Amino acid sequence: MRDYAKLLATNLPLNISRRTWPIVVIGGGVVGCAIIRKFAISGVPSLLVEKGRDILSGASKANSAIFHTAYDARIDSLELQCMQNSRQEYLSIMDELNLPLLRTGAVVVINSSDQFEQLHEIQASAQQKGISDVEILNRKGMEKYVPWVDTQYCGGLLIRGEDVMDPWSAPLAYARHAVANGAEVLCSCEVQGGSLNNGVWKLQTNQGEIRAETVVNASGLHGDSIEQIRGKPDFEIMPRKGQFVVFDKSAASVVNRIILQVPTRRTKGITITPSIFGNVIVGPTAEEQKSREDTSVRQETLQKLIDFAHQVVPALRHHEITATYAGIRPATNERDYCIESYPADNWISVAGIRSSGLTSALGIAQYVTGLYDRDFANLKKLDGLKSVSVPNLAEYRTRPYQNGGFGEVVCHCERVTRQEIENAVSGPVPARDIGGLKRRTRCLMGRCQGFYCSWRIWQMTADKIHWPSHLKPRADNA
Amino acid sequence: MPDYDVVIVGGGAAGLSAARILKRSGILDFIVLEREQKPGGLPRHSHHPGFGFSQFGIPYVGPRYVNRLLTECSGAEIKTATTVTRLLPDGHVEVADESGIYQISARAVLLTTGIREAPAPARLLSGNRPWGIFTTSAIQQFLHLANQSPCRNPVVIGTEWVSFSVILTLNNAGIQPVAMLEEHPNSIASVWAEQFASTVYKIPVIKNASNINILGTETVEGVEYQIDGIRKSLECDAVVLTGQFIPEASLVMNSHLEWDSGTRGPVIDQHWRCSDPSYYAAGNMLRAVESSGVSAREGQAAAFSIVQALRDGPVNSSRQVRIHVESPFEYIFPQIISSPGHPVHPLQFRSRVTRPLKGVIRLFQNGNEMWNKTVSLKPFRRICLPGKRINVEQLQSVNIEFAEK
Repeated sequence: MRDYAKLLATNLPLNISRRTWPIVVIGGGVVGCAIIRKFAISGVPSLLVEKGRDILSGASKANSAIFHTAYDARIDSLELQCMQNSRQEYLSIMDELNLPLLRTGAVVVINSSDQFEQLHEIQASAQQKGISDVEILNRKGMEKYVPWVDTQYCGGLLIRGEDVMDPWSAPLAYARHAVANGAEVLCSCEVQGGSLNNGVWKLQTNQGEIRAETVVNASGLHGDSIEQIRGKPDFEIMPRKGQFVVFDKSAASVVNRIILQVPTRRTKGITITPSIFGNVIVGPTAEEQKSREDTSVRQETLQKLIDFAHQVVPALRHHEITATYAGIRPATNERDYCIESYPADNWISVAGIRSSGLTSALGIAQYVTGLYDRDFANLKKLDGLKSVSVPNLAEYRTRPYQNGGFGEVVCHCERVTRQEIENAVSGPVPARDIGGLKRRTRCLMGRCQGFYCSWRIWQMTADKIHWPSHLKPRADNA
Repeated sequence: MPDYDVVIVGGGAAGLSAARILKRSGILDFIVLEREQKPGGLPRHSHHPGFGFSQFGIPYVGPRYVNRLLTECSGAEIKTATTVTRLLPDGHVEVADESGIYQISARAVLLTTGIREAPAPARLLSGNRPWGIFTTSAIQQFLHLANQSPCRNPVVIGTEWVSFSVILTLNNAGIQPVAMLEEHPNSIASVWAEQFASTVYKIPVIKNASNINILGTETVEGVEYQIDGIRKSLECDAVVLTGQFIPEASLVMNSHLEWDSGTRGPVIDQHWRCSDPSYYAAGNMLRAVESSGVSAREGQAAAFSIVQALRDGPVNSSRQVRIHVESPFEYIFPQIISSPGHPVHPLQFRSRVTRPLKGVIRLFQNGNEMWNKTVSLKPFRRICLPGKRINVEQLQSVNIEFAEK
């Protein structure tokens, strides 16, 4: 009787509720998307559940989008291994998925000649990890590679492999690749509990019960609470907020390399990064906090970021701020990633994927599928995989408005065409809310923040995505 | 051969007013490029009266003013849904429409791209980024173009003229603002506007409100602010950010044209010419912000200048005098006086201060005082400095001084 009631209570589509999934991945961040892709292309089409309305609604929505070399990762760490494997895989699949990579290189800058010693240490440590394309710059070298950096910075370390990614198109491409090869992505689905009986997990979600043979916990900021479903977590999430400011596209002509600071044990420090969209991003701060949701920004902090940017790159003074945001990194009490397989519990946990997750996601997916292959069931290499490609948002490549055939430009600041917006709200893994639409197209993310186009975007998408309910037809007779 | 005599970039008050003058002057080989679906610019969704009085003697409501301008321009080529994406030397512009990007060339290009308001990030507002933070234009567009009411009880931030015009707009739509917040000790627009809002519309105008913090996760739930060191909060379902206009001059910033960090618009001379003499600029893109009437007059003046250049041939100005200002002045324009030049009537400089000041302004030509006035200056209002006695041919320098009293 109770089961019958449960069945009635489900909102789940039949194709999801009626079967027992070989794997359910909890968490649609960049890591979850990469994992579901890897399983799908290894012959185990699985289910990804995300509690937000759209994928990338948590930690993955805000980062600095650097494609790291791992020059400062700890040697012998899992983080280093995942990052290096991930880089290789990214380079080999980026063309197929139509993903960009802006080759900028980075310079770790110093403003005191005492710090040259530290640069030599970083260089040696990088070389030890096989990252050999690093070069110490004196003032003359700085003039050559980063002439726009203030002269008080007397030296630097040039790291050629540090490049810039599209932080949202990459995970979207992973998710779409998975879906094209049989996986399912279910959003607005919050896992609230679960139990393991006879080798099958019954996961209680707000939409009903989902059955899985194996669960992969990639729930980022909520990793430890989801882990409670399995048992006592081996890690504790310690949320770390990072605030960012984004300079207008006009600043792209000024900053063409990533500027880094000498990293400390806790943080890489504030970076100044050209974005793939043609902006300049400054941040993040590193603020420990209890809340996993509080992504508020503070004027004083933002002002400090701007002051820092002006101090390092004086020419940024004339450029406007286009956006401010904050993200939360799911750091843990450990110094490395916490990726564990629990064969007795039919469970793999993937936690503590901090700021390097965007770079390392594909490597994490390799590692996780490796654990699965070792502990659960053998995976195979599939032939005849379906390939996908995502729309290009990178400013350095040709954009749809330049090619034509995509309708008129609707969002003027970011030059997003009508067709791009229409495409983003339909098809596989469509946008389901405004945030998702912004991440897929860049609309509303430019310098005017909707001054010109918000009403049109609303008009075009009102019946396709979630808009806050207090938008109502005018009551008066205007 | 260039494709057109004139290309006008932007079909708002300044651009259409310029088009009207070109047409009246017999210059018919021109095109207005407008990136929106319909021409008209900001007046198109400003449903309050006061537009076009200086041009037509009638205080039109925004959309009707646009209709009048379009009637005046009838027959002119106005191409909408067409975005100018780059400004290239010698009157070439790159445009994008449904067919992709291509170039158009003209003997003269007039830039009238207008303004926008500073959104929340540019103001470095603290707090969250929920749905329900609007600029004036965004809320007007929701109300008048989409026919949707995006909120019930917003807080309006700012007390510029536009802030009070928003109050009218909201009131017409049955929306009752909770309060107006102003960080300065006085309303920017005027005392009577403030009185009007607080007595007629029963909207408290809270001044000296600093450290604004936006609350709410999914949608706006309230704002916090600080007054005399005390934190206070208001419940609301939206925040309307008004004023703090910025010239929409990114095209200029990313082009070969010289850009002024004071006005945040292009550098122009007394003929409204940019640093590349095939380019002209007028209206609010020169600086933020003036009424549409001022923008329209500037568009017309620039059009007259273009007509003159097309008829008499371009002026080859061999000499340029650069005008600089220092604090308390925020900027001055025209930034350059070119000579030789066409006669300009009236030659006028415009400037602005950012705080209230009393004192004497003096204008010097070649070191000699040619004009002075005892003034009481209000922040963010235009200051007109008459340049009619300036002898352009003999000009070596122009200086402006201010002595505070």
